[in-house]
Amino acid sequence: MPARRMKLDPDIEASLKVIEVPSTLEDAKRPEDVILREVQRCGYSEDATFAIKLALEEAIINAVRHGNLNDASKTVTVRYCVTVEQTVIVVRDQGRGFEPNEVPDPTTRDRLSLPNGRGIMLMRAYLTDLWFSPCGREVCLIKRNE
Amino acid sequence: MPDQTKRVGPGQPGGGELPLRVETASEGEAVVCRLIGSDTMEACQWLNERLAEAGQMTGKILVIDLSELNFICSLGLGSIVAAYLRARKLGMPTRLVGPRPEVMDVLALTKLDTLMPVYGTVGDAVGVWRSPSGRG
Repeated sequence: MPARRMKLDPDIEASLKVIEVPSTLEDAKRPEDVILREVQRCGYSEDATFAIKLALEEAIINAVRHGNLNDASKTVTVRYCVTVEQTVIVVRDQGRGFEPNEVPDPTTRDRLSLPNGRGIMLMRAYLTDLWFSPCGREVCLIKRNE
Repeated sequence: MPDQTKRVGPGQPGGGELPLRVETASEGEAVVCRLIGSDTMEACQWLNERLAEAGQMTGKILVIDLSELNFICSLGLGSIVAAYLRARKLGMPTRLVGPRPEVMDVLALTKLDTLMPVYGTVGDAVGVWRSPSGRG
């Protein structure tokens, strides 16, 4: 499934809260903790909570490692809106961007034993919807509460 | 007989406040690493180091026990694949043991269960390896 281009409903866009953190995996735990608390408060199932946590970690890992190239002077911006119907999270880095449709399938025989390259596949599998901005610096995660 | 289990994790030297704990022990010919807690993104580098240390222990098979692991991200999967590659260089097969359903789903989705066979218990993993057809 090719990655879709990002187009968020203006009402949802306007409702997003913003957390900006230094670009390290440790600092990026803060928005994750905040969002997961809201997810829990809205009564999401354990499976849905697992999915949101996994997809958010993958988006942050991509932003910190591949987008910002582990440069802690850069930032990762997380915008989010959690309701009982759905969770929308937008993660943005300050890197050069990438073409998501060019990321190879990590399950092919020649790539299976590589230590990396599984993040986008996991996000696609666990989310209701996944969009990328045209420049590839921003990813939008959507998980419906079903 | 002295307890040869090496425990590292939260509240212990080198463990910090990570949500993950690792217990490594030699059990017969197997080096067994038990991952306990959540392998979240900030714990993965630390896990990588613990698995590298385990790879230096003497053994003929590497067993990674996932029965008490409740979360794993792609970096954690990468740490396990790296351990598999290091063990393979030494001629050691790697076996995974007892993943919970949510972790098994991640392994199956990424097809890592085809790279490293999954068993129900450490005894099963080591027992199959001991049988002539189970080696490799």
